[in-house]
Amino acid sequence: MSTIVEARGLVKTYKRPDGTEVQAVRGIDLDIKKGEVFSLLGPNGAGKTTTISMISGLLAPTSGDAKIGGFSITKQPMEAKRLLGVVPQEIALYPRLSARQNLEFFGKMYGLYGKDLAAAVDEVLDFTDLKDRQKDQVDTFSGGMKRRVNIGVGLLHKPELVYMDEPTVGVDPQSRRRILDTVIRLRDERKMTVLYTTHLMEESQELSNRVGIVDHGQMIAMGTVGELIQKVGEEDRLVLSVGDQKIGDDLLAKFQTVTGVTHAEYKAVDIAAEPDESGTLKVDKTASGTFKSVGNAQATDGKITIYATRGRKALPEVLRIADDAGVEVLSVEVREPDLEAVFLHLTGRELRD
Amino acid sequence: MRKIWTIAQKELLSFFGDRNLVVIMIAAPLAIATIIGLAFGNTGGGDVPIKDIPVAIVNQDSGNGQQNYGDIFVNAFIPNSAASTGGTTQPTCPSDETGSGTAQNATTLQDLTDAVKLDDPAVAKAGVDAGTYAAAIIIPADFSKKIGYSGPTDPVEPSDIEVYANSGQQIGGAIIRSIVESIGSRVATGNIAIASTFDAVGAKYGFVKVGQIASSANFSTSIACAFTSVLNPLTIDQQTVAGQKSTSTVAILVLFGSAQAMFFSLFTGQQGVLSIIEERKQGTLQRLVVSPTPRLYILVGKLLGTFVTCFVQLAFLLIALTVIGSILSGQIVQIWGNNLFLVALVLLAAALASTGLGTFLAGIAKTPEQSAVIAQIVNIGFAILGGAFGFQLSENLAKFSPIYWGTNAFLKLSANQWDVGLNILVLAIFGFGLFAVGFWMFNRRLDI
Repeated sequence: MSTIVEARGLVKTYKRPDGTEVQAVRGIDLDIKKGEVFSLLGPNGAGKTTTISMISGLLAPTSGDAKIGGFSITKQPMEAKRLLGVVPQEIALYPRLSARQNLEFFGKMYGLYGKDLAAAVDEVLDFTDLKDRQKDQVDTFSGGMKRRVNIGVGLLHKPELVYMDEPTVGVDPQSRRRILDTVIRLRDERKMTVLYTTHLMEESQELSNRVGIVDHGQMIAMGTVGELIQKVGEEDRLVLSVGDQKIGDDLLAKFQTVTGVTHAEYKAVDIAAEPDESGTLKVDKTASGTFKSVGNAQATDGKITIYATRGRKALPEVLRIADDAGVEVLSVEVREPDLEAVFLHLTGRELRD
Repeated sequence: MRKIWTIAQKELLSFFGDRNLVVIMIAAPLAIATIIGLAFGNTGGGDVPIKDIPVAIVNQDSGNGQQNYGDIFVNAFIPNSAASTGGTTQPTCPSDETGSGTAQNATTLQDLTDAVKLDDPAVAKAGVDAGTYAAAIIIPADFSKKIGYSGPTDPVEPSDIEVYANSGQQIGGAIIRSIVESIGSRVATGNIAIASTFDAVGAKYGFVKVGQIASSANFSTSIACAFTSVLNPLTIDQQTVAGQKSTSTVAILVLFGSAQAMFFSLFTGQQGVLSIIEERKQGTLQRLVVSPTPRLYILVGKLLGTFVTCFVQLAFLLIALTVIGSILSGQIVQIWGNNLFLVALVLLAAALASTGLGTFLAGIAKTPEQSAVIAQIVNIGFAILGGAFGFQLSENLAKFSPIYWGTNAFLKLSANQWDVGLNILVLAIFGFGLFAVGFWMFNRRLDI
């Protein structure tokens, strides 16, 4: 498979109002092969969108360069941009224009006119199932329909590479499923290359041929899902919720005696809860991710994480030990090796932290 | 070029697709101008709400040997004023003998104006500058010679009566300008018709005989009675007394309509440029930037769209005001004059000025909110200076406002005075200058 995107040493530095500099992207290298779905996975603020903004020509890199189809985005931007279709995270449409008018306008921006334009617009309206509403103002559309037009605009000129920036953020489950299916269809039916950014591990794992994991402006891992999971081994994780019960090191040591268990750790997060008028508990979360006290009630959300090569087999013994120690296990979750675990393994943090 | 025009077209679609915006930008100036026109112009009969407009008249007309049309002109405002100075007295016309027509109409003009005859144009103009008079009517020395007809060898030519108006009394000034223009053009039109007839007759029966008839004193008096709207200004077009009142309504409509159109087009100009920032917020600008469209095209397309929107808005307002003026007058009236080419040129220059100012304001402000506040202050300031609210602080200050230059041009065109070159030039320089500075500043600030 030949390469359609080649990025080398991409750096983006911003100046803060106080004059100090912050590096949003710190020298990212990236290769995307034709016909694959490549996900850029990372927590919010990791530098995914900045990286893609440089590749798509929206932002000028502080240093480094990217090529699309062999055309440098800094030196041959028009040629490079012709090969790229962009589906931004937010709905980027003219609300007072109809779906068709929006598609026609952006089609013209990609050099489509006359019959070619009409045919391309009709095709996209078919693909997005919006033919019946093509003459209605976008303003009158539901969120899901707007999303479909938003995607349609990016596909109009039949680009070789489609970049989708977290397209499922804030959408209902039905629309989300539809978007994910669209990505798969683009790859399988239209043979397009899709560059997909997300902070949702499940999406990345379902869609991607290859994944790049970005954190703090750096590419910390890249490969197929299988290759990445191999980095953390084949361990399952057993996550036991124990609420505010105190867990000592002696109990953790007992867990490690179970066959297959390699490691056990306990993490407690203090939360404060105060019931409102309806009896629902209110919890405030600080910017750092911990919970802060807002009322007179104090609570702890404790979790024991046990790493085991065969988690399901070890589970009965683990639960017996907890029971013997007088610890009430409120819930149990068995997590098989996934990208979340890879991220945790590489950064020591969870993707959603 | 195609992409630039596509972006401009989209701007037009977006502007005119926003009903609320269209209502504000089109209906509001129309309503304001019409309401003021109706309130001050009084289209329906009854009392004339504007009375005793102070006017100074300077008659420098030396006559054409047989007749002094300047005196006749003055007599329309100040009956028998010429007799006291030994000039041409108001001739007795057939309509006078019936006791109607002239007497009735002269009284109407006197109701409307409080005219004073002066000898020195400089004194009259100083009086206007000092606010003593709303306008000074200065009749040139060759007035009779140019518009009069004494025979086949004497062609009838148009002659400009200068109306020097006080910018602080725009309504009065506009009405006087309108009346003078109306009278002057009718005198000339009438005499041109006579000249054409006599030329045709002369060609058939001989120039000498026709020349003798034409140069006789009786004939001149007859011509004065038959064709000068001065003596019977309201019956020449078979208009009633109310017809004169509708003239003042139209004059006010022209004045306020053009001023309001200019005022609101400033907001359109600014809004159009600011829509770039709005597009950045909604993400469509980023979408444009990642398309194979040079950034300069995007900016130029947006600005062209704004310019065309301003032009269409102004043109639409002028057409709508024409319709309103015609309805109020009871007949089709070209309230902006006969020279549509010049009207279009002024419209273009005015649209350029609005776009230029909008670009400049968008350039100096750091945020859309800041820009909106600055724009309101600047636009209202220009409106006050330019007389959009019915008064002006000072003529010299007014000249700093594009509204003054636009309104002034439309007033001139309305009176079929075509010397609007300076107005167009000032508006164009204003527009291009601010556009260039604003474009440079805005482009630097536009961090996509």
